[in-house]
Amino acid sequence: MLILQRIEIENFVCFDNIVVEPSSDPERPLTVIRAENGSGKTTFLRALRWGMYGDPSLPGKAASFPVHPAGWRTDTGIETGAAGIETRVAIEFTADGSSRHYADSGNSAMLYRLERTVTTKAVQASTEDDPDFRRIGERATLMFRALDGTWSHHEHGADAVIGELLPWDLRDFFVMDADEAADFVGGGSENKTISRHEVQQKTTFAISSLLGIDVFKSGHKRVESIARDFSRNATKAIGDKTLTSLDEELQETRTQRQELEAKIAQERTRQTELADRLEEVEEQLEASLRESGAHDDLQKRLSSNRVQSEDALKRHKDCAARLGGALQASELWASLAASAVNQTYAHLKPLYDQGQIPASHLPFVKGLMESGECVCGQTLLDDNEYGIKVKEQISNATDEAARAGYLAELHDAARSLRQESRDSTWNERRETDEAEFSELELKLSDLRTEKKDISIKLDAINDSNIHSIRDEQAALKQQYESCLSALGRHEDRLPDLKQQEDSLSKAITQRQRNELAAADHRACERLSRFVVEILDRAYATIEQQQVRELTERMNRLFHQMAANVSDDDFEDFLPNKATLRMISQVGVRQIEGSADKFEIFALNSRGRYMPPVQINGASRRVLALSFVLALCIESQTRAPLIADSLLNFMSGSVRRNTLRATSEHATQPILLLTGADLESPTEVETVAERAGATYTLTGQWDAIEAGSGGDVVNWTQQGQVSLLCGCGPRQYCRVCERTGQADAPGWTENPN
Amino acid sequence: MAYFSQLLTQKAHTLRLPKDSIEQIQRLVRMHQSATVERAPFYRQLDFWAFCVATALAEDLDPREGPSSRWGAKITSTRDVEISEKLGDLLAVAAFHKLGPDHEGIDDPRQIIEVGNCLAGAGCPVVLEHMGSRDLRFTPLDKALTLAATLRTHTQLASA
Repeated sequence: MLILQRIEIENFVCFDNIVVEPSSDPERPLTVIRAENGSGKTTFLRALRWGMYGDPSLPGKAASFPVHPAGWRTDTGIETGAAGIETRVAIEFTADGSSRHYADSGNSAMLYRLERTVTTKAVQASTEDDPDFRRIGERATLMFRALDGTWSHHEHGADAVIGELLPWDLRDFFVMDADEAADFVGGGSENKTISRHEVQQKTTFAISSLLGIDVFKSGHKRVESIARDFSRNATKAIGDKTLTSLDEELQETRTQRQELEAKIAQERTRQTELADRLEEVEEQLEASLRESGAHDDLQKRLSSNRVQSEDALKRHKDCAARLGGALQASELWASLAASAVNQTYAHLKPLYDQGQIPASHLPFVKGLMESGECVCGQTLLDDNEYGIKVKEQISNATDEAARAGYLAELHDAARSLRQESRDSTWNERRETDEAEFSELELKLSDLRTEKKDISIKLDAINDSNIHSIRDEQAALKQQYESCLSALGRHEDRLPDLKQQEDSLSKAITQRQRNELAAADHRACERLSRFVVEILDRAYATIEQQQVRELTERMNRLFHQMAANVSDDDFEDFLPNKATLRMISQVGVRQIEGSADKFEIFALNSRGRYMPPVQINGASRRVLALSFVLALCIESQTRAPLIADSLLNFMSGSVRRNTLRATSEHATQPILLLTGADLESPTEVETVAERAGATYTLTGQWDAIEAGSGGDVVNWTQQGQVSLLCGCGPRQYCRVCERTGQADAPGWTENPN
Repeated sequence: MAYFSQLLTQKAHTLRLPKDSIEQIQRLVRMHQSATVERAPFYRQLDFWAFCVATALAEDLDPREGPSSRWGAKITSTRDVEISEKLGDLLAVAAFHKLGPDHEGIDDPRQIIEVGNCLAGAGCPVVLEHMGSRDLRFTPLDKALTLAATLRTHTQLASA
């Protein structure tokens, strides 16, 4: 529900500053704004649309459409300050939160204020066709008044809320230029053509939106989308690996893990056995070594014995050599030959002492001979007596001398031997060496004995046994190390297998869940598709029913408005155009071949379809209005209906009926009508009876004084301004008075 | 003092030992076999020959009647063996002692060596007899040394 409470327009084209407060009285919901042609009715409509929808709602090229006051142009003399001119449209309305999507919000009505502003600044136009202005800073705000009277911004913003309450596509529906409203029927006008497709589109949208049929369609789409999502999810949940292959993989991994654990247990047992056996062997070895008196010690002793023996042997050998050498010692010979030596010496020593040996005079005599003089002074020559004698002596003495020399040598030899015999320490040395020799003999014997003893002990140790034990020990150690290594490898691998097993288990569980989920998704998909079917069927049913009801309502309204119609009631009666009178039935129907598209139809008395182009303008207006009103009633849409020039081309009963029907059936009809639309007393009476608010718009450019041929009596405000006053159909005031009104019967002056 | 050793080795003079004792002698000499000092106390046959000479002198034995070639086997030649200075001295003194101061052969190396051979021939049986003792407690070295010590003691006592 949306009811306009107040409309403020400031600086919008010809409106300087006007305020309209439409009637919100449910008993008298009609608001009439009377304005002669060219007084600003359409501008008012545009202001309202701009306030609601912004620039897109403006005709033509919105950027070229000036919303600023006409005084902006320099030829009017309006201020063009650097700050520009701010245009403002404010619309206050009450809404209870219900909309085409939410029929009944259950909330109480809240007051909102939609305000749109924009600043227009002058610019230098590049070409003649370009505007000399630009709009900046367009802003739309939506505030709501809380219970405590404070205003707050609406969280969703103006455009979103208006889009929900008065959607853009239905702008023609609620804020209606009656010419455009006829687009619902089709046929266009002299100034505008509209295709059948566009007509169908507008009609279909209006029906779908307001009857909530589009809810079904969007619901259908949504559920269809959901069904597809479920299908995709179901497919994705399944994954690429089947449960069977995962299970097989798990079994294999589990088997490997169990085998590995068995191997580990086996290796551990083996490790224990090897450790025990190693301990046994080491104890055996220790025992063997202990029992035998330490093999290594014996070996060391043996080694020491060998060294000592070698040393003793060497010394023994040296000693033996010395003893052996003693037998060859010259001292020994000298000692043993002492008797002979002594006797020889005794014999030769006197000779030596006497100088007989060696013969020492011979060299003297030889010397004398050589010198040629004897000691007695005699000359010694080879041929003299003395010389010859000396030579004979020398010759005789030579042989003796040789012998004497020999004996001298013998003497020396005997003396040397004798001395050696006396000084000899042969015996002492021999005794010492013999003692040492004996000692060494003993020592060697002891060493041999010791060696034998050690060897016996070593043999007793059973070397080969220790060796074999040691071999076994070494082998066991190697096996133990190998066992540890294998155990390490297995134990390193085990966590990986366990992890792999866990992962596979989880994957299987997940897969099972996924399959369940996939099954769920499939079930949801089926359910969704079922819901889609239901929606489709419901949609079809409701659509048919609602369209039928709409048609019925529309038909009734049409005939209510077309009642008592005659050809004179149509100002634009054209012979080749169908009139209201010719139309026997109207309604909405589905377009053939397209179940969710609709169009308005009219049938003649023979039940034949009447194409829109064959229906005159007034009939199309009535047809369109009956559609709008019927749709609002059937859809329980409570919204204003702002219509400009609704009663154009109508007269007589049609006008009256239309006015009455609109004021009776629209929630908040706000009609912009000309004076001609309100000429008949019935119309005046209807307005008086049904209108809770009346206004009159008067364009100052129609002032007589303005010199443009107008008939407005007072030039209240100079300029291209349309003024608003609260005069009703048969009222005038100093703002809106036109010539003749003061004197016309039935017209009264409005003092306010 | 190498006078006599040089005198004796200027020419080759044969040294001899009783031929009937050569085998026994050779058992006591290391040069002819691989034996220990204890078993073969004399390094060369010359050393044994010299010991026999010394033994004969110690016992004041008369030289065995010559010529030594009649009963003796050649053991070596003076040119083939090194006669030490002291040995040379000893042989010269022994020859002088046994031949007498007036013997004209006292400076004849041949005579000296022959005297030596005859003295060795006289001393050899003594030595061999002593060495041939069957007392197994004593090695041939022991016996030889004992003989040497005994002879030496006797000669020292005799000298005193």
